[in-house]
Amino acid sequence: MDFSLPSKLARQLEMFGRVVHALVLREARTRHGSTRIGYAWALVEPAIQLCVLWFFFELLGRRVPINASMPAFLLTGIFPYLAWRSASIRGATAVESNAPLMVHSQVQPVSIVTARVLLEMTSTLVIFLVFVVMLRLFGNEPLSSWTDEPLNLLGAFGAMSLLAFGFAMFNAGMARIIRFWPEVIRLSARVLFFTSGVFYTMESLPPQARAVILLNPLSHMIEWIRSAALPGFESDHYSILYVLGWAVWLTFCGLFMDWMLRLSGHAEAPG
Amino acid sequence: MIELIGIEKHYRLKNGGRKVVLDNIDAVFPKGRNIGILGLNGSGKSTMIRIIGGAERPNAGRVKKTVSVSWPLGFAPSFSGSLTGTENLRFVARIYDHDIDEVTEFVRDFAELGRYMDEPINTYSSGMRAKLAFGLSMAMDFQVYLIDETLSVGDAAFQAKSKRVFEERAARSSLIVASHHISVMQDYCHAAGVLHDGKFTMFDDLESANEFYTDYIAERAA
Repeated sequence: MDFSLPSKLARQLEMFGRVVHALVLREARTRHGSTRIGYAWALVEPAIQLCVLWFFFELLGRRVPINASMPAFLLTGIFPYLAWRSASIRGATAVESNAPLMVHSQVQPVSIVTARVLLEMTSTLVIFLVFVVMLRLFGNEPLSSWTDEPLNLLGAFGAMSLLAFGFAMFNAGMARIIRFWPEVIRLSARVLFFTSGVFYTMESLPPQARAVILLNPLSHMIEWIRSAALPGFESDHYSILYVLGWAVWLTFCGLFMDWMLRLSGHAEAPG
Repeated sequence: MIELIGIEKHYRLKNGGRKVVLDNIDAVFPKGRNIGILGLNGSGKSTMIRIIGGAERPNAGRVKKTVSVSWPLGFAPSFSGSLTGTENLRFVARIYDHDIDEVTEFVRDFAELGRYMDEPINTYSSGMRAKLAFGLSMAMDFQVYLIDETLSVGDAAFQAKSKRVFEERAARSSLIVASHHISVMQDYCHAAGVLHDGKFTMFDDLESANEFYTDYIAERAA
């Protein structure tokens, strides 16, 4: 009996991996244009969000609703949100902005989206770690404020990546069918900043509002990451299955759209 | 061998109608023969070349390939303007599983771009870009090269060199050349077909193809 992968599938997987690898390296060089300001912005944006939210908390005389420091509380909301947003928007624009690369028949929408999500997740994680180190060095925030349940946190980050991939695949498919889809995503990202629990906990909401807010998988994700990261916080308002369900369903819809567009000979770009 | 079976391609127009570009095309491109695709501008030559290369998918039908086929050479290179020549080469070498150093070495030698290889592509002239793209495709060693519209890249010396390389390759690589004029094919092609009104008619030699094509143009003009 031959238990090895059928050689055709193995070859396709190998080629997929090779193409994704090449795309990641290419995108890492072109992601922020040729200037270094783009890279700086990736660091500055979460810092600005942190400062603005912190400022309003102080202005309104509000305290952190849980037993955690202000930066630990806010950053565990800001980073999942930014990861979700960049994967969603970059996913929605992935195929259009890489259409010229598709003269190489092995470069396919799925490989382009996969490469983008890998790059976005990695850079979000790296920037998060930069914040953790900076806060340790200049803010005396001990590393233990972030590592309540390391394994659970790792799992949450894995689920976050799957959810991001699902949103990216789904948005990539939608954007190929509806031209203005990236604008829809940009707009909803603004709304979701306020409705995903970036700066409040689910516990602090009235039950009716909480029920609505918890329809959004990102709210679950933020609660989960906070529970896993922060020693002073434990929530039972999030569902791992709900997050994974969304991730699988979005991925399925995205792949289905891709398959339909491929079968029908959809033209990606005029010309 | 490359075989097109029942290929159909249409585009949606702004006014809601559809333009049929390729209408149920069957064609065979046998191994070892250089074949031309003659057609007027807008007749669907580029679309046909892109479908053969897999850059575009037909609305119906399929392409059977038993050989490695290049990307369509000519217009619309996939280079990123903010990356250097070398960086762009690396990407293509990676996705085709070629040795990066060998490819870079070959193109450095072939394209004669000197220190520009390490400058961003958007500082290149269009001729330099074309040389880079052409050199890169030569480094890849495909069994069939798809050429859209032009083989005349660069100055006379570079053209002579390109021609020499193609002739050396003739034993193991063949060409499919799309153009609106037979003269491009006379140097390289054994046979040609004519793309007219969405149909493709194949001829055994260039003369008959050209005769048909000339008559077709005269008929349209009348």
